[in-house]
Amino acid sequence: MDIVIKGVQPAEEFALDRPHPDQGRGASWFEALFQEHYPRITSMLARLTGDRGQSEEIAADVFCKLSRHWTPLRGKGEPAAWVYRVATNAGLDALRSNTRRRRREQEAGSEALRVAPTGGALEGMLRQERCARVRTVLGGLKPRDAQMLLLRSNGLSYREVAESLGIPPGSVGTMLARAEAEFERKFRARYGDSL
Amino acid sequence: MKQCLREGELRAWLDGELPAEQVSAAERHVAECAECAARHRQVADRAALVSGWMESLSAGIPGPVAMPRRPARRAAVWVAVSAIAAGLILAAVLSRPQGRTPVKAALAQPPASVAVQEPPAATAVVSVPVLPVRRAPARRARTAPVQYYMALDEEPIDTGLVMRVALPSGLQADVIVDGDGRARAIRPISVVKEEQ
Repeated sequence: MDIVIKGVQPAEEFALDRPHPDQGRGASWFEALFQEHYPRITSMLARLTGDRGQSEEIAADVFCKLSRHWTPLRGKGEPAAWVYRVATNAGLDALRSNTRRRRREQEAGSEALRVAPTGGALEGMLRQERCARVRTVLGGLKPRDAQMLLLRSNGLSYREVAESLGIPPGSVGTMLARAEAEFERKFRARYGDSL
Repeated sequence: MKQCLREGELRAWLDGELPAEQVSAAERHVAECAECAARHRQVADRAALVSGWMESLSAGIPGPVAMPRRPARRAAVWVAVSAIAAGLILAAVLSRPQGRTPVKAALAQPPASVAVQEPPAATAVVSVPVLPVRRAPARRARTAPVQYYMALDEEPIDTGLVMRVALPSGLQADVIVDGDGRARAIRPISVVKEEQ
């Protein structure tokens, strides 16, 4: 998992710095951040990768990195925004690296073992196929577009999305609309009008 | 609002993220401008479509694994055994004889015979009778042949610390405490005191 984390956002790696002791931010602040955002991030990454165990590994690595380097983030905004940015980057990298493995598993039919389908078998297969298609299209988007869709689907406000991605809040609507249009275009180009 | 709405404004409006002062103007403009109304519907339809796709990712994802909770019965047993062990220890400490002189203080005081002894004036040979030293009667404790531990739960014990607790009446028990500080097993010890 370190490989995944190290493969992205090298700039953020060096943006972290230990806090000055007088800045008053300590373990309690980190615990509050962890308790508030860890479940949301693991949930978001689980939907992205389809693997809760892997999503928990990624989220734990991100928070571990944050705890080691501490804050403040020099010129990089709030730590929560940094966590979401790094986590979505790492999740997208994991999604891309999982593509080949997931394809092999689907061919072998073992995907059905990972997620026990609720309802009929056909319904479960269709749902899994739909998830796989969405993930494939997400993995083919520009990272900024995929991050935008992920963060919004995870319930982040425009202000939080802007802080996470380092963009002006006023441009979130425009970038989101473009990301959705690009997603739809790629989806239809790849899979037609099915689903 | 005279100007047509941009796509980003339409999208922010859908999410309720358009500034409040612009919302009413946007509503009036979309009501009047057919082109913006069509774009608004297009943006809304696409947003709903993509949102549905993204929401489909949630299906079938197993929930987080909850940490296993110990049954309440074990907690009650642990509390009871801890209370008994604490009571035994407290009783043993409080029942110590209060008048006993500490060993350190007794050694600090030299014997009276040595303190008052004067060197003999003459060179007479004095024979000092060797008095028999009266030893304190030794206590010998004899334990029962075998006392097995009684497990307080079903889990195996990897490591633990054996603590012996005792009552003034002679009732003793060995308690195995694991790394978490929980009592895991106990065995009573029957001690027979006898004077030698």
